[in-house]
Amino acid sequence: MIRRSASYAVLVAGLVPLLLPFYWMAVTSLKPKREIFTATPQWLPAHPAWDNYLLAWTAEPFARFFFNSAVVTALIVALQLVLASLAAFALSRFEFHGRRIIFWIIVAALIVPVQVTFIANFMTLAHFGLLNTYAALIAPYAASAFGTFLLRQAFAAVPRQLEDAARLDGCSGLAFLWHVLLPLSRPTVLAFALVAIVAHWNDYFWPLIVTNNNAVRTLPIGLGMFIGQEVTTDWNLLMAASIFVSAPMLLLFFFMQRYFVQSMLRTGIRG
Amino acid sequence: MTIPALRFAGVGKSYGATKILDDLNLEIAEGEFFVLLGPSGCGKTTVLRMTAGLQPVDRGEIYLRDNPLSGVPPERRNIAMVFQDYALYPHMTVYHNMAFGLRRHGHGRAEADARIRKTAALLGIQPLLERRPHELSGGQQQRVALGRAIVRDPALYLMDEPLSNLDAQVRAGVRTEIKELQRRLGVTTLYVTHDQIEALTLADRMAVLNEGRIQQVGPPLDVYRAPANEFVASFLATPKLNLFDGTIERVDGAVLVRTAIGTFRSPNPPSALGGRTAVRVGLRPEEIKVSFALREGEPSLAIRLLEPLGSQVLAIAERDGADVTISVPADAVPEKAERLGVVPAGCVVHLFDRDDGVAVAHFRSA
Repeated sequence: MIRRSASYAVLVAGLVPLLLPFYWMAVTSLKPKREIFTATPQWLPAHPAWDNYLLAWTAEPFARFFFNSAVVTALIVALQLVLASLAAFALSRFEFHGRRIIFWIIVAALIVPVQVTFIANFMTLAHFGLLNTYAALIAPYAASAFGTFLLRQAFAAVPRQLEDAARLDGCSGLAFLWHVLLPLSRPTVLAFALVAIVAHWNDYFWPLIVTNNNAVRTLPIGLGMFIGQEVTTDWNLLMAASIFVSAPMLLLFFFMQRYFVQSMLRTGIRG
Repeated sequence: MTIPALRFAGVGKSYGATKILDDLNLEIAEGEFFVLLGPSGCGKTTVLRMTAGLQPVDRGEIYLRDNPLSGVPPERRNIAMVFQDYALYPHMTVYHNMAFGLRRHGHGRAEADARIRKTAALLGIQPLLERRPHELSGGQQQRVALGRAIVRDPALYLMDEPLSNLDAQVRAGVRTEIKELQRRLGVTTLYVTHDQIEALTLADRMAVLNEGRIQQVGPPLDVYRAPANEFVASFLATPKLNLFDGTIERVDGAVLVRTAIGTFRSPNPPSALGGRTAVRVGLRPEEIKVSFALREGEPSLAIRLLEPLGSQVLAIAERDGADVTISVPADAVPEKAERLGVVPAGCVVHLFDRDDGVAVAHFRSA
């Protein structure tokens, strides 16, 4: 009993610093301007200002940003899954010259910080006149070394006898990938997809570099535009916007947490 | 002449410089249960995989009902295989495991369903159809793996050590079941194993394979009674074949074989013996007659260890530093037995050439 209470105490102690920023974000988003900077912390808004959300939503073209973020994230993740599963299929189930070297090059690519590639990618896209397009946001991320590596490991764990059985059942090549390898690697695929969705939904740096026009800007850029755009920052509006920017990810985790934790345990990924 | 269901004509396979299979020639009749027996690494699984089309043939040709198989992809060979680890699709129910191959081969949903129901009834696995493989016991998984092969109604079954992952108790039951099923369905079966009991119990005919070469082909009891060479004799002996050097004497038209554990007499000298004066002598543990009632001064062997197996007892005895393993009925062994004598009359003796190990004679000692 005591041990149990003690372990709860530890969990609560850990949760408070984790949840406090979220709480503060939610509370601030509802405060009228004069309640934001007070001498003593105000834990609940005295006069909840619900129209902060409407003001924030219209302050910038957030509907457009939402659409852009959704399209860009969906296409990136879809491309990554397609390319990573095909590459992983080749690397795990076919014998060919240079297979090991290619695999190690992909592993080595994991070591390179993504920022290192920014200048080269920017210049390439500029050269093709693709800045300020969806292509600029998507193309550099279409292939994922991380995803390829994860799926290769998952595919390699599928026993050869299963492949033999599938071949006798008339299921070889891409049909084997689709009907056997991918369903069997579902935990890995899901885990990778979730990590990728979160990473690209939240990505700020790259969209900031390759977009300067609202038609293609994404949500994090929209949030950034609140700050320092005028003389003072409307913190309450910024927090309201932050809520609806992060809401989809919170919902995603809320509904997928069971798979997410399972997958992480199974694959040993850390997000 | 009838066309054999399966024929290997000069089939060979190498990995680099290593010959896995060397000039395999074999004919399997329609409806026959044929067992390929051999130690691990003898090439027997390679034979199956080549027949299934999972591995290319380097030399020679395999014919299924007189149709050459090279160039025919696995799914078009009309062959079904049962794998050692069952190789059931873990993410599919039993039903879908059986339906998958049928559907991929273009059978309609209704026909597939009818066939699955019929096969499930045959195997008594109807209650398992909606389960997934990990919810089944080893024996049940094995039965589903058989079902997946049967439902396809192929021209040939290939079975790759399908019993080796089962508990001893389940194994004997499934073994009987496989034999009965095969009889009932009458489908030609090529079965691979390293277990001599499986080979002897299941096979209509069997082949013993070693180092990529066939050592002997024939009905199981013929192979057991008259092994073609030392290798076959030792492979079909449990736990091991007792081998001795022997000298041959010819007395009054009979032949005497003298060994470290006794002298064996064959009244009718086997013709294959020729003029040999020295041979290798093999006796299986169950083919040696012994007595525990020893007379004073009679030659005997010291018992080093008795291993009770239930109805039989394995006696490990010793004579001049040589081990002899003998299987004795348990009730014939007195308590605290310390010595035993070999009774030459009634022992089954196999004689092999000293140099190449080829069998020259098998006889029951008189």
